[in-house]
Amino acid sequence: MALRVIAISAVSTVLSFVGLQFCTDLSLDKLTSDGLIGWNLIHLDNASQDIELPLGLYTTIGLLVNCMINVFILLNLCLKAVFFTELYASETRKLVERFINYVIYKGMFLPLIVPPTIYQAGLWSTWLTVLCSLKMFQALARDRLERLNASPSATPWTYLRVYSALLFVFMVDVLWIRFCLTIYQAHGSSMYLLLFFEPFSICFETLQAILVHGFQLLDIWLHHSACNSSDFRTPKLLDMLTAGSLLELKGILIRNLGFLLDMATFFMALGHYLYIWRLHGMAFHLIDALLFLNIRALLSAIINRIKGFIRLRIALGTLHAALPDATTEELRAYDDECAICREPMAKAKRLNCNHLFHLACLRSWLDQGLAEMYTCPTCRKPLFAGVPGNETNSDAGTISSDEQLARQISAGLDRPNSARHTMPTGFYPNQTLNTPEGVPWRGAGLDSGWLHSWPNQGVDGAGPSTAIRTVGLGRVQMMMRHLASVGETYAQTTLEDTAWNLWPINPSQASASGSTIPPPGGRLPERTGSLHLRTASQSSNDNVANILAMAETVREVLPHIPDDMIFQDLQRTNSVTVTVNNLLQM
Amino acid sequence: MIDLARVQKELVECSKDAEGSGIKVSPKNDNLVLLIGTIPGPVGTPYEGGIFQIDITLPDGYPFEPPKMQFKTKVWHPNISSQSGAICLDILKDQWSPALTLKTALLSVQALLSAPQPDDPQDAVVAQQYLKDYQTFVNTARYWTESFAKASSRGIEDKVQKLVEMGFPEARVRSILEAVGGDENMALERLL
Repeated sequence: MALRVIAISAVSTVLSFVGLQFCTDLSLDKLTSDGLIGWNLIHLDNASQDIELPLGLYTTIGLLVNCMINVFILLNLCLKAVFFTELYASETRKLVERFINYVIYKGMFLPLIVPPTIYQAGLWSTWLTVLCSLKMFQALARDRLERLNASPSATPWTYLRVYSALLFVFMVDVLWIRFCLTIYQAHGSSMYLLLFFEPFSICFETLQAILVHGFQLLDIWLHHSACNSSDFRTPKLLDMLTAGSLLELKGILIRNLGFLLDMATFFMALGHYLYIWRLHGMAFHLIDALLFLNIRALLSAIINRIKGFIRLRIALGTLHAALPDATTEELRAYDDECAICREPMAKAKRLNCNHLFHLACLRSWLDQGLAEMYTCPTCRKPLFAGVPGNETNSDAGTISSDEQLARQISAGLDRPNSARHTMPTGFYPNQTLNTPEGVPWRGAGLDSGWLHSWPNQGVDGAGPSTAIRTVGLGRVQMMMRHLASVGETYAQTTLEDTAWNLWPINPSQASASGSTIPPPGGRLPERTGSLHLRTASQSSNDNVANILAMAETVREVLPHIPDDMIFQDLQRTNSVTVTVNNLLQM
Repeated sequence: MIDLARVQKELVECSKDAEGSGIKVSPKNDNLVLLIGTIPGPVGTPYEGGIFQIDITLPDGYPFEPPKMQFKTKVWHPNISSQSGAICLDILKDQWSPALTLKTALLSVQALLSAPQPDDPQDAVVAQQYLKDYQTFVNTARYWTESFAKASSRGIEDKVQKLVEMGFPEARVRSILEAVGGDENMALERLL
């Protein structure tokens, strides 16, 4: 099917090119013939030329634009076939959703500031089209890489091919930034500064994806290499230490550098809207309300990301100070992997029971809070347990320190819930209209209370997509869990995608779109299968219940007959009377 | 987010010891979130000789949250629902630990088949029968094992033979049948 679409696009491109060529030749021939006739009738020919020239020019421009559009579509289809071969139904649907959201929220505000000339319209349309393509390819690559990561049959080559799409998007984005710089230098107007914010946002986001999935690619490659090669005892220890160090480096890089790239992405996106606001000025129309809502959503996402990062750093720091590090001799004597993530350990924390775990793994387990008391994952011995009273004062200090640590961790975990409870609900458009004009940072400060109300409002407006259902869960718990895992920085990206989906024009359209979204292709067969299973189980269960009831009746009549004989006969006859007669005749 | 590297390692570990313990775990479809576990009925119990299939769903918080397990094969047991296959087992609820694995969880389910706990039942009817009329319980459990667990196994063997006669290699036939949960038509589609 993809090849067919590419073929159609290629034919369309060729036709548009031929049309353009034909029109150009026709104009040239007409010009020549007019020139020949002009020698006889100078005035009349001049008048006819003046009339025909604009018409021919517009036709040529239209055909040229059509040809370029066809070439662009063909190029996109070829690149999609090269990197992704065939899109899944869910990927296609998500792609369409993202495309619509992107075009609406990036393209809606451009008419506010762009002069209505053909050149400006062409320039900004091209800008929006190229950035939209880059954004869609990047999102597709990320989704596919996550799917491959969750697939047991993924090979390094498959992963590398999709990973190349990220590298390609990054390179094209850098070239596009340089092209925008050329345009800016050529015109020198302050309006053209707007060209840079969105390309930089895509650039940083792609860099983050390259970082995270680069480590995944390395893991997959090492995994395949380990499967192919044989194992030796002595090099195994060195490999474990090396792999453990690599794991530590990976965690640190993804946490810190991922956070910085996330912040850069958010601030570029925010700068885009703030700059539009500055160029356009504050006039109280519907379009300005939408612009302000977008700005507020981005500010809320930024603040949540910063809070999550700070909370994670505090939690890790607290645990790091509370538990002793395992020495190299202890690690060598332990000679085992972390029992939680099954990965080698270069650094580890030692519990009172002498079990070793990664700091990050241990922190994730303590954050879980399944049990009332914190316990060792391996032996369930309580952590921070009180030592018997006949110890020395230093031990008493240790006890109080442990208790304070446990209390501090509990308080830290409880604080987000209380903060969420105090979040104000509702949204006040009037106060938005009263926001002072001209100083956006002051307005943002005054609106900080409303920023917290956004998650609740988002939940109220939630649609049927899976990303929105994620928001419906305990958000703080989800945030902490996401931040702890390897792909923690993607939680914010998911949140950002959710933010886009949570911005319908009005609630009725949101509900309408919710009702019109078709169910996934795989759901219907599953439902049919489950229905069939339920029917079969009901009939089987009724049959067994009948046999049991009849067995009870037979046992009342003939209590001395063994139960297995009763069951055997009932299975054959399926009748109480016949079974009783048969057993009596025996 | 699920720790997918750990899940992959667990699958490798289960496949290494599948011959000895009879416990298997394989992905349903091509992802690591929905899995199918297979355990043999313990020797010396009414479930002996049966092959029980368990649906496994890994939550987003795995391994810090317990996997969700549910019997796909119908089983007559006080702590397993005869209607839905839900399992009442403490390590699958509040006593879960991230040091446990899918294999240890399936071993615990197998141990539950050996040692029912009627005082903390999942299915009240079965628990009552277990307490009041143990012999009937044993006969019913054996009957259910013969009807559902062994028939399922016998059916799989027949399907394997049929597909092998069509010319497909036996190892591939077995793995695909296991992956699709014994559905012959789906397995045929996968093989073609």
